[in-house]
Order: sequence, then structure tokens, then C-alpha cells
Amino acid sequence: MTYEEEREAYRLIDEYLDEVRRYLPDDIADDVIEELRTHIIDKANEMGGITVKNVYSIIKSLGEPRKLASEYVIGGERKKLRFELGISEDLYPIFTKIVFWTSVLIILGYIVRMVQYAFGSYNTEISIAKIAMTFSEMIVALVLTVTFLYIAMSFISSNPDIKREFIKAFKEFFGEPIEREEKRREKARKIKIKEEKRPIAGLYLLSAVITIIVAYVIYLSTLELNYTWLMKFLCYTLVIELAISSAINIIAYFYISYKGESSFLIEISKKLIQFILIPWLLIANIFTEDIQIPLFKEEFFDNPSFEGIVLIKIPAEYIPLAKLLTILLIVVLIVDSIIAYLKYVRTMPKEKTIEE
Amino acid sequence: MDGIFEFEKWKKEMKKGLVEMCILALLNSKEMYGYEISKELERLSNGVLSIEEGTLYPLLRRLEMKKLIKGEWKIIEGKARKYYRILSLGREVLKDMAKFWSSLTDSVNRIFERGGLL
Repeated sequence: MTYEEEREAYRLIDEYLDEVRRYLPDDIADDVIEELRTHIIDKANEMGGITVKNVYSIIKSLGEPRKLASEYVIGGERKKLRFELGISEDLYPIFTKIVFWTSVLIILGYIVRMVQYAFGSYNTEISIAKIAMTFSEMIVALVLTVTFLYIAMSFISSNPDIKREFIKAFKEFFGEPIEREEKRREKARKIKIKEEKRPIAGLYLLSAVITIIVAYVIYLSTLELNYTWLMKFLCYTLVIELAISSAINIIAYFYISYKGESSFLIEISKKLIQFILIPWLLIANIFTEDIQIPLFKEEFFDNPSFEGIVLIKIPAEYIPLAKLLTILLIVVLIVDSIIAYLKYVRTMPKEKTIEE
Repeated sequence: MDGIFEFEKWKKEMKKGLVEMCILALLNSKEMYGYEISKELERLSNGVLSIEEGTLYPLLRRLEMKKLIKGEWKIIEGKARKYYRILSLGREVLKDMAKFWSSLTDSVNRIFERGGLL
């Protein structure tokens, strides 16, 4: 065992324990972390030394940091209310269940509305525009509901007493599928670790080709259709965004073909390039009435051409919704990039560490 | 085996309570650190009562919070480890547990005999 290897093994231990610490209540964190550290070192020594392989196998049996930490938090005596943006493992199955059923209800409600518009007394084009906007409204409602549930469940996760009562109440009302689901998730996670993932270069090339075709079609439509200045601005921005994305995908294709792994810089660039849309979203938020919805007329499907596309302005009652949607999209773009970044800097040590 | 009845789940729940009792029993003889407890459990039960490490340490903390055991950091043979010892409340609880366990196994054995399993 080399000095370098031992140093790497200790780095792995620190990385894992730092992650566990993040989810532990402050007043027990030091004690718990020290105990786990001595455990890992004792066991690794018994297995033949503090090597990356031994340490990895021990932390794997200790389990995912958040789950391990949640074992300490459940039944804890802390009374202070805390809030951390993260749902503990034991609450996660409940969260997914609530999200699923709430989403089903929301979608059913909106489908009823869309059917009403489809068979209502409006003329066809306005009906379709209204259906499109109702669909957007449904997406907004789903995103806001899931966000609200996520925040609420994070709050419950951070407070052991409330969590205990919540789980008890949930079990009383809905029975007890929690452990089974957790077991299934655990199994799925294990499989996921095993199958850890070699990127397929060909997919990037395919994506690049499709993206450039879409960009070209949007470019042509901008020349042909009678768009407002705002929509022209959107289309040209989209064309630039898609063209750059396509170029990045081609670079990714060559990189992966050569190196056999994806590059953090390339992945994050793909996310950041979406930021080019933010100025349009901000301007669209101010001049919302200039947004148009392109609709395909029946003759488009018989003989596809730009004459078969009609442009409809957003119905007045949906303008506040469109404004909300633009803000939401900006938030999604930013959060998506932050998540992509965090995924790389703050994940559990992976199998590939052993290969190194 | 893991059909509708979910034998594995039943086994896990059975073991859960037993492991607490066995940890108290082990600590009744001498003080031990976490990893030592896990090895002793595994060795003495021939692996039947082996416990995942991610479960053992939180369990020890819960026993500590219930004032059944107490953990203290000690340096022995140059190594700092958290050693657990049983407290008087823990001894009392262990006695009750052992008594109940003994009557439980007697009763179950009688039923097994009647059922032709023994």
C-alpha cells in the first residue's frame, strides 16, 4: 500500500463523513462522526489496511450518508425547529406517494377543463389556443404543487418530533407500504450503483443532428411566418441556443469517443448556454401580449408548409399565467444549472474512485 | 419464500427487538466499543443476529438516550474509541427482557411440540 493510496483512502473517509455530518443535528454530529471514523479505520485495518477498496466497501455497508444520518435523527430528542432543503429517506416514499396522487388529481381536473374547451362554443382556433394555455396552466400548477410539497416535507424531515407524528398519522390513514417501498428503492439504488454508467457517444451525435435540424426549421419559420418582434427575437435566440448546443454535442461526441467518459465542463456548458434565453423571458414577461401561439391547421397535415400554420395571440385572461410561466422558466433554468453543478461537486463517492 | 407473507420482513422485525436485548446482555459482562459489539453478535450467534453497521450505531445511541447504556471515549492500547457500558436501568430492563424471553421460548416450544415441529 503506497502513501498516495492511503491518503486517497483517508480523503474518501473524510468526504463520506462530511456528507453524513451535513444531515446530522449539530449537538450530536462531532460524537457520531468520530465514532464512525474509528469504526471505519478499525474495520479497514482488520481487512488488511486502509486502502480505497476497503474503505469503499465499509462505507457502502454503512449506507447512503443521508439515510445513515436519518437513523440518528429519528427518535432524537431535539425540540428546536429546523429547516433544511432535503427530504429524509424515510419520508421520501410518503413524498412520492403524495406527489403522485396530487398530480393525478390536478391532471384529471385540467383534462376536464380542456375537454370543455374542445367541445365548447368557441371557434376552433381560439379553443385550441385556450387548450394550449390550459395545458401550460396545468404544468405551472404541477410545478408549484410539487415545489410546495417538497418544501413542506423538507421542513417535516428536519424536525424529528413532527416527523414522527406525521409518519404515525400517515400510517394510520393509508396503511403501511413505507418500508416495502423503501426496500425497493434501496434495491434500485444498488442496481444503479452497479450499472454506473458509461456515456454513449453516438447519442450525443444523434442529439447534435436533431438539434441542428430543429434550429434550421425554426430559422425558416421565422423568415416565413408573420411573427411579432418579440417572437422573432425568441426564434433567433432559440436558433443561436440550439446551434451552440449542437456544436457542444459534437464536441462531447469526440471527447467521449476519445476519453470514454463525459466531461464536467461540457455538461455544465450545455446547461449554461440555456441562459441565453433568460433576456427573452424577462422581456416576454413585460410585453406578454405580443407572444403568439403557432397552431397547425388541418391542411398542414395534408400538405406540410408554413401556410398551414396560423398565429394566435394569447387570450387576454391567460396573460397573467404567461407572465408567471416566464418567471417560472427562469427559475427552472437557474435551478437546473445549480443542480447540475451540485451533482458533480457534492455526490457520494462513486465506484470509479476504486478504479483510480 | 418471500411471497405474500414477506418472510424477510418478519425476520427483520423479530431480530430488531432481539438485537437490543442481546446488546444489553453483551454489555452486561463487560464494556465494549461499537465494532466489537457487532463482531461479538456475529460470532456468538453464528451470523444469525448480525446487524448492519448503519443500524448498530444509531441503535446504540437510542439505547444511550433511554439511559440503558452509557458511552464514553477512552484511550485503550493507544486507540481512542467510544466504549459502552450498561447502566443500572439497563440491567433492570435486561432482567425483565430475559425473564420474558425465557417464558416466551417455553410457550412457543410447547406450541411447536403440539404442532409436531419439535
